[in-house]
Amino acid sequence: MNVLLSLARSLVCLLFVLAGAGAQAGRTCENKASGVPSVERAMQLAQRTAEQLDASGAQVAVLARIGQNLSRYGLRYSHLGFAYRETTSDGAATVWRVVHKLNQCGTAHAALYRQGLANSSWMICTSTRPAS
Amino acid sequence: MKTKLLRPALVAALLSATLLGARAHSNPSDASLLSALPIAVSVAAPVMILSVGATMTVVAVQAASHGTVWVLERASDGARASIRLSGQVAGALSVAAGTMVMVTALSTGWVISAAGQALAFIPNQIGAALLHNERLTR
Repeated sequence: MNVLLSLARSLVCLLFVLAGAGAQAGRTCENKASGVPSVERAMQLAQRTAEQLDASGAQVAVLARIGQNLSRYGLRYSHLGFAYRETTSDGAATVWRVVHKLNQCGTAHAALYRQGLANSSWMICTSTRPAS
Repeated sequence: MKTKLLRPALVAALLSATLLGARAHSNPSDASLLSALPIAVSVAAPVMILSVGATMTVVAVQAASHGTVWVLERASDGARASIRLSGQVAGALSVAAGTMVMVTALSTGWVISAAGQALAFIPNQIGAALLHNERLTR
């Protein structure tokens, strides 16, 4: 029970909400070339997300985002993942990793992935809102 | 040509196989555009070859056992860099020898681009900490 309470205390829900046409909403299954500004934005936003997570003091966080408009289904967030702080193998630094489930393009199959913040579309941090 | 390897920060960061070595074996939806871009896992280059705005030519593209190796030559002085890119992204092999590329420096690394389109990303230590791709289940 103590472990669960400890986890609950350290679990912070950070909802990075997509707003604005320029924000990256994650990659679809289309293979489209990326411009240099897109890569720069993606990396900058991943860096900002890491900084916000660091500043939160959390060890574990739930990240959600609005990658597409699902309001007609009564849903707000299109994707969710668990982020956690991990120490690198050499012990020199801590990094954030996200575990989440991704569909395989063109199939009904999905798998769990562990990714970095820049790989996993948590690049949307224009505002922080409470869960609705 | 006197070549001095960038051992301290750049290469050490890029060779951290625990960060970048485990690549996903498919193309999941909802992954970021960074997942679709070839990522450098090692670089052997003269000091400062990856300077801002450097124009380089791809002189060789070689398929390797764990990825693709590009040999780039700087237009201004002929200095060469060898960059090994992660293996699971087809785009690395589609670049032809003779392609002119440009280096853009970011706070998280360098983007190699041609005609404004990003071809590859070379992370520095900050960028490497933000990149990891590992499939946990089948």
